[in-house]
This record gives sequence, C-alpha cells and structure tokens, in this order.
Amino acid sequence: MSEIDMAVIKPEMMKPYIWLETSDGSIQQVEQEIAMYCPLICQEIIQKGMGSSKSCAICLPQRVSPVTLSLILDYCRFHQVPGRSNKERKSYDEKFIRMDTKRLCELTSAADSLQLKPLVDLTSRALARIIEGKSPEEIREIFHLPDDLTEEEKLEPLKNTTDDPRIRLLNRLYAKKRKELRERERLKNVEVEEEHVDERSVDDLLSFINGNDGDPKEVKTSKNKKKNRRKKEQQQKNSSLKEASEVNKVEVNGQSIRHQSAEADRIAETSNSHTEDVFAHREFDDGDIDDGIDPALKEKIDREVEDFARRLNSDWPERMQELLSSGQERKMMLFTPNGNSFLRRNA
Amino acid sequence: MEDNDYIRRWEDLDIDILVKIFQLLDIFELTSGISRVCSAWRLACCDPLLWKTLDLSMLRSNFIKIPLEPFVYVDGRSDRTLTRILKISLSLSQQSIMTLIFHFNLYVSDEQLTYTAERCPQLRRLVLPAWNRIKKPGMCKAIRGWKELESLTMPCIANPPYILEEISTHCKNFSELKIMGPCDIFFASSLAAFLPKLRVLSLRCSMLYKDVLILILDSLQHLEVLNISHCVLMEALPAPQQKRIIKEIDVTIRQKASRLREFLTCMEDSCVMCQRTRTDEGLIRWYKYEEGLWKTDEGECWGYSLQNESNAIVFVRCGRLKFCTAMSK
Repeated sequence: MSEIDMAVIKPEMMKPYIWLETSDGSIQQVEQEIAMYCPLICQEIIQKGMGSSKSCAICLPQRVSPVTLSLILDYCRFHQVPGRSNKERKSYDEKFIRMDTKRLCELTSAADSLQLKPLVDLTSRALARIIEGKSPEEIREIFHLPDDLTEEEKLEPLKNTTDDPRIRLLNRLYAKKRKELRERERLKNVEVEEEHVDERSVDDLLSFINGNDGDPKEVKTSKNKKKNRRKKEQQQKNSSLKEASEVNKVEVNGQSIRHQSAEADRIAETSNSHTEDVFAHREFDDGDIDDGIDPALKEKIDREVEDFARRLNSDWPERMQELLSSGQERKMMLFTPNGNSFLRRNA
Repeated sequence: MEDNDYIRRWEDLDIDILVKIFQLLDIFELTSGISRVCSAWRLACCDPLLWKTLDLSMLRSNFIKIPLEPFVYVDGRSDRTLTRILKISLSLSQQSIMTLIFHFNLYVSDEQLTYTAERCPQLRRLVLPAWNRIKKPGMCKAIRGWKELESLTMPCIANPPYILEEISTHCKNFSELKIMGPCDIFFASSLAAFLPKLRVLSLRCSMLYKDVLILILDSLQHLEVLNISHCVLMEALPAPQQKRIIKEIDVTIRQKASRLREFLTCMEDSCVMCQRTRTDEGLIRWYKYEEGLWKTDEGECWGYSLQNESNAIVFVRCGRLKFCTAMSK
C-alpha cells in the first residue's frame, strides 16, 4: 500500500484488527496488516472505512468460504513479511499448493474474487500442471465435470485423403542411386585415361561397377583424392565466398529453391526411366547432404528403406518390377553411412 | 450434495480464471484435450485472449529433401498433425488470430495456407519462413484475404515481384518485412517498386551486396528501421577479382542511413552469429544451430516469443537496441 493511501486512513481506522464476513455469514477478526495484502479488502478499508467493528464487517465475495479465507490469510501472512528471500518464498509456495484439486479450485476462485493476483497466478499454474498431458476423460474425472459436448463439438481430427507419394519418392531414390553408380564409372574411366595404375583385377573392377561390395579402402582413397583436388581448386580461387544465388537456383537455409516451372512439375510426374535421365545431369550440392547424423540412425533408416522397397516390390505387377530391377539387384548404396543420402533431418 | 456443489463451483468458475489457466498451456493441450472436456471449458477455449497469437513454432514437419520441386517431401503423419491443429485452433479462435507464427521447418501446403487465410481475416502479422510447397496462386489467394496484414517474415524467393505486388495492392497497412535469405538486386528493386512505404526491414544473417544496400537506402524513403546485423557485406569488383567482403560500413552508407531512426549493424569478428553467417557463406543453415535461434531479431518488433515459467509461448516485443551486442565466444 502506498504512503498516499496510508495518509487517507483516519486515526480511528488504524486498528490492529478488522472484521471480515465470509459467504456463510460467519464473522471473524483478522490482523489488519495481513488482510490489507488483499487489494479488495484494502480498497474497502480505505474507500469505505469498513471493517472497523463487528457491525460494519467487510462482506467478502460469495466464493470466499471460511476455510479458503484462512488459507489465503496464511499465504498473506507469509508473503507480507518484507525480508524474505525469493528462495524462501518459492519453497513456501510449493508446499502451500500441495492440496487436493477441489480445494485448489476453490482457492483459485476465492483469490481471484479478492483480486490477489500472486495467489491466482500460483494456483493457476498448479491447476495447469494438473491438466497438462491429460485426456478429456481424465480431466472430467479429476474435476468431476459433465460430458455435455456433442460429437461435432468434440472436433475429431480430419481424415487424410491425400494420395501417398512414397512410390514416386522411392523411384527418385533409385534413380539417384543409379546416377551415382554411373558417375563413379565415369570417374573411373577418366582415371584410366589419365594412365593411373590400378592394381585391382578386372573381375574386381566389374563387380565394383555392378554395385557389389568392393574394397572399402579403395573407395575411401578415391574420395580423399577428390576432396584434396577440390581443396586445391578452391584455394586457387581468390573469392572468399561462393556466389549465393546462381542463375536459376537459390538455396535458402539448406533448402534448394528454384524458379517454379511447368517443366519441373512435368518431370515430377514422369516415369522412373525418365526420372533417371533427369537425375543424370544434375549436380547435388551441400544442401542435399545431411551430415552429423548418428550412424545408428542412418543404419535404421537404411533398413527401413530396404524393408519398404521389399514390401513395395512384392505388391507391384511384374512389369513394374522389371523397371526397377536394375536398382534392386545392386546393393543399396544410397543409404550408407558415408553416402550422400536423403535423410530425415533432426532439425 | 457436496459433490454437486463441487460441480457447480467448477462450472461457475469465472471464465477469466479458466482463460488464465489455459494461457499457461500450449497449443497441443488446447486443441487435443481442453476444448473437448465440457461446454464451459469449450467456451473458455474460444476466448479471444487465447488466440491473439497462434504460435506454431514448436511444430515442425518431418521431411526429407528431394531434388525436384518442391524440394521437400513431408511425411504424411506430420501433415495430418498440422491439418488437425489448424482445423481445431482456427475453429476455436473464431477469426480472432492477429499473429501467426510457423516454424522454420514447417512446410505448409497450399490447402493448409488457404484454409488458414480464410479463417484469419484479422491477421496483422505472419511469420512464414519456408513455403516450398506453396504455389503462386495459393500465396496470392491468401494475401488477398489478409487485408489487415502489417508484418511478414518470408524466405528469399526467386520471383519476388508477384508477392510484393499482391501485398502492395491488398495490404494497405503493410509496413514491416523480414527476409530470411540473401536479398539480391532483383529483390531490392522489387521492394522499391512495390513497397516504397515500407518502414521496417530486416535482412539479418545473410549475404548482402553494397549496391543492394545503397538501393534500399535510396529508394525506400519511408524506411525507419533497417537491420543488417551479422550480414556478410560484399562489394562487386571488376572482372578478375569479382567480389570482396567489406569489413566495416563506409561513409557513404553511414550518410544515407543517418536519416533512419534505427540502423542495426554488427560485423564483429568476435560475434558468434557473424562467424556463423560467414561459415555458411551468407546463407545461414538455421537447423544446425540452437532451436528457436532463427526467431530472434535485434529490431523492435521481431522478438517473436519467450518461454515463461510454464513453457507457454507468449508473444512479446523486444526492447529497442541501437546496436547489436555481439554474442562473444
């Protein structure tokens, strides 16, 4: 309470006790200093001069019962003491709200009618914690509420009517895998032209081209060579940054965004073989790669994709299987811990 | 008898108390449990106080990147979750939503956006940083419905004129724009052509060419606040060199920016955000960094949300900062 408010109080009002009347008609005497912690009571005393005697007791709102009033006064008694630390107050508050739901509801209602905002906030938070994570049925049970809503009002979730585009996605994944194999073959041919001595046998090379397990060390070496070559090329360039936007492509926050065109939409709808051709001429940049993902997660995704492919192929007609046969015969190289895979991002 | 009294008490509990309690709960609680308990709670759930801001920034799409348009494939389940939450929250809000925030990785579809636009005619502020799946007609249709729109956070797009033209035609009070991505000369000239009365512009954490910045300062005469904090400022050079990074803002730019109420800059080597922008080559990959970092902004009106004690998301306005305090290592 401000000094101005205190100045308004008449000397005869400055008594240590005031009289309060609760909803059931019972009147009780309360320390004025504590009671005035409630804005509503403070207002009644200052503006109307009420509560000075039993005959002119302050009538409290309907929702304030004697039990809730005593709880509220306990709260006020603790909090109006000036020297307490925040830690003490917090600890007291935690203990204070340990009560059954019924009493907590009544206390919230009473505190609100007395305009005691700190207590309303405290009890509201406690009630919110009770409600959190509960189903409507559980909430009704806890608070003894009626189930008086119609089915329409309960707003059931929408049914999903959209077509599942996973098949088209799988086609794209297979197409990318085949493109990568062709790319490796081309790189190998270039290396042969440069007269690099390759100590592997013809059988090994053929099995590598066909996608069978080659020597992982060899693969790693070629990758490192490529990395070193790229590094050298970058150092030769004076520019410290890549051009952010190319002629027909802008990558935004890791997502590739291109000019919208009917052509792209048409390509998306085409068959698997057509998609393969489209992929053959496209470079994948860093935005398409997801690094830093747990190898265990990658393996899990590998298994899921293989399993999905297996189930998908068992359902498809034979002619569709023939279309994808080239992709299925080879080992799934797309989803490997070292490969440039499309992975679900843990963003 | 006591039990009946108890039921009566709960139903008599002031709606504003229920609203106060519900304000402490998140969007998932409001849409799944609370609104389906009873008619009294349902009524409290429709209170406009709960729906001034619909913050979906904790909701992300489960997606993988694909090489063809729209460059993302969103998992059906996360799409259904978004549709369900939109359907329920837009029904409960009864057209009172004024601020709508989507997560950086929440890929909204055309249908979802137009459905939302029809049910948020009062919308003043939209945060939509990714719209790979939204086609031009869908975006235009949505903007036509948002006549009160004042503020937009959008991605950098390849063809900006159509969207800016729609905004200039239909959103007469539009004044604040935040672009999440590089702003090139085409974007800047589109801004000058269609939104010359823009008052607040944020281009933070992106690559920005000096001539683009000068064009913005020259052509946007009503501009009051410009945020280029943590930008990689570049200068185009003649043929062999092509470009170089500008380490500090020169006199020309300072002079042109002197008319602004606020010109927010940060180009400190010690600043973590500046380092990140450079590492990501002027195209910051927000998903690599702390959750929610993409939402922060030094400007007065871009601090989208704060977590309060009960994890409820509350819309706030940041205090004004003259210069960004560098987040030192």
